[in-house]
Amino acid sequence: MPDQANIRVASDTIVETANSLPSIDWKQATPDVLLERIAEAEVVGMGGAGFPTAKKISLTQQHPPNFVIANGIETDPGVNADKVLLERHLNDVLTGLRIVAKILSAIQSFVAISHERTVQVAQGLLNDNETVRYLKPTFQNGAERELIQMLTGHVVQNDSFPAFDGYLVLNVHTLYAVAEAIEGKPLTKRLVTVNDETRWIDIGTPVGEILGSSDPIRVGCYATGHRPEVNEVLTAEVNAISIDKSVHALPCIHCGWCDLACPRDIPVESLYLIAGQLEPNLAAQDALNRCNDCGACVVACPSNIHLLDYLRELRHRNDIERERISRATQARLRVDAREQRKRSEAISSDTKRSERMRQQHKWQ
Amino acid sequence: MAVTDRPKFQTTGIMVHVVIALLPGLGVSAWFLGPKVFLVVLVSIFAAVTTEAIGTRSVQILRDGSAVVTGMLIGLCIPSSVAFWVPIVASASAITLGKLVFGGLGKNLFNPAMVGYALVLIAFPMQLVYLDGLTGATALDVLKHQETESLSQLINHPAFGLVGAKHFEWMNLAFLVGGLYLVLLRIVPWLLPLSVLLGIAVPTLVFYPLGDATYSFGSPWFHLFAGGTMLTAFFIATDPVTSPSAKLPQIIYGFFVGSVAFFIRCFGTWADGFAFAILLANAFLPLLEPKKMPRP
Ligand code: SF4
Ligand code: SF4
Repeated sequence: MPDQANIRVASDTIVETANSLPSIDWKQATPDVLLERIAEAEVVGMGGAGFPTAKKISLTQQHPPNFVIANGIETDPGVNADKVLLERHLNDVLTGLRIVAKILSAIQSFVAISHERTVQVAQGLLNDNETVRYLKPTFQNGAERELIQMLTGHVVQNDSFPAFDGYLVLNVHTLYAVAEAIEGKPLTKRLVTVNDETRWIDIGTPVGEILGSSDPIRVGCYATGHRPEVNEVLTAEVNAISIDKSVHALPCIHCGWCDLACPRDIPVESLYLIAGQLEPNLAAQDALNRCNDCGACVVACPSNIHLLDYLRELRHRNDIERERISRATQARLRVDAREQRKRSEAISSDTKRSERMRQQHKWQ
Repeated sequence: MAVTDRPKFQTTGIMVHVVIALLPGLGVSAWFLGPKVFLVVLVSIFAAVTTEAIGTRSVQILRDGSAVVTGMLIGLCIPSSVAFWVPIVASASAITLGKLVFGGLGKNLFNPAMVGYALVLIAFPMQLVYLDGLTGATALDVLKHQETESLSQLINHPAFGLVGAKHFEWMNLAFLVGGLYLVLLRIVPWLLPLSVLLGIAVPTLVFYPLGDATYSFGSPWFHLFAGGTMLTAFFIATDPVTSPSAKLPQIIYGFFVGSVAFFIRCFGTWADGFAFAILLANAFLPLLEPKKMPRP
């Protein structure tokens, strides 16, 4: 099988070259060189977005003046990958932050951390234009816009984006990967909280093999993660592999705790009941739009009902329904237009004929 | 809300705490009414659990612990002087008619324990009369059939205690303690029991002064600490499945339960009216909170 052998060799070479990137002295290097390396090492957002970091940086670069924020707020319930990273590699994270700040010629850098002890350690390591802040790990604090507002007071308007306002928020694990990339090490592994224990796992490992038991899992934390797809492998933005408690869910006892837990005042229980009808419900769309998938409702449910699954399903059904409606309307419009056209053609041919008749009559 | 990965409680855990909170009341009842109370409660629990297991042909379903709570509440409502088959009938019908016909836990419109209790109350009224060892009747019965007694005689009647009904005031106090435990754990929303208690106290404030030397409606303290007031306010009216979860509906629901119970006590046929007050309020629940409409 020569083909396979070739592929084998090819992929081996890629790994080979990837591993042997030369280290860069970032204090001397130009922003372009640094940015190119970050792109080359394929660093992506590891806080959940998975967006290429080099692109995010250059997008922000176009809107000076710039501010950089290291996001160490752990908002996924039960996950402590960021905490462990900050305990073991705070220096590398700060280096990553400084590299990015250098690329952007940033005016100021912020570090937001949700573990008090690490904040104290960080305080001793900061330069002049760097600030570290302790923020409570609530379900909302980790979101980019909220974080920018809390740290800098700047409000990113709804029709704008952080990058357009010159603000760059990067997850601490991403910054660690940036520092590694400049050292010459591309992104090949990350810290993952596997069922309460956080350890390094190679990106690309099949998710089903990580837990080492046959329990049903969720990719991500229990509350916000999804059930694994067939042959799914670990990607850079996945910070946890959790046991899926919802397979043993008990009936809903209508305690209303999900409603109480939701930071966005969404009537979660009602949406859950609506979702149970397995039909789209466009009246619920408003509430669904307000939900930012934080998972607080899932954590609150004493019956282990995975409310977010139901909300996502309902959202999906609604998407399909809206698509169907818009297609139907368009079809309807097309039919109407054709009939209109036919009618006007008929009328005009009628008038033309009567016109001709009249002319003929004139001559007679 | 801070980020944790665990709910405050699991549904099974809630039921365990409810059972714990019922224990002081159970102990005080047994102290006054004799160890047979334990027997009645155990028989009720056993009947409820067995019925649920047979009815659903599954042992898994028992995990949530709700059948145990239903059985326990029935055992505490039924006087210990009954024949052994009464709690069995009550618990079995509570689980079948109160829960399983609706499709199981979470789908029932009526409080299962009250369905079972009301059924035996209607079917075997003579079995359900509390036979107090001392007086042969409870204070609520005395209050109801007091036509010839004067107020001062009433208070001196041996069926009355310090503020409420003799023995029952201590049982109510014990249930109040257990109930406050659940409120402190935030398993039970404080607004519901408070509304029930106000629902019964406010009408008494109006009616108590109307009583004269020949007839008394009972003082607020009496009503708060008589019969099943505290048990209902903290443990029965707060069943999450059959009570509202929003604030305003909770106030209305609780007030309704309390005041209907008062009017049944004073003007109805039965000595204590909580079972019917609860069932009536359950029937109105979908009006208060449309999402609680039972669905198959
Ligand atoms: S409904 Fe959405 S926003 Fe509300 S708690 Fe659940 S996941 Fe969070
Ligand atoms: S928290 Fe769970 S059990 Fe309680 S109302 Fe919401 S879905 Fe139902």
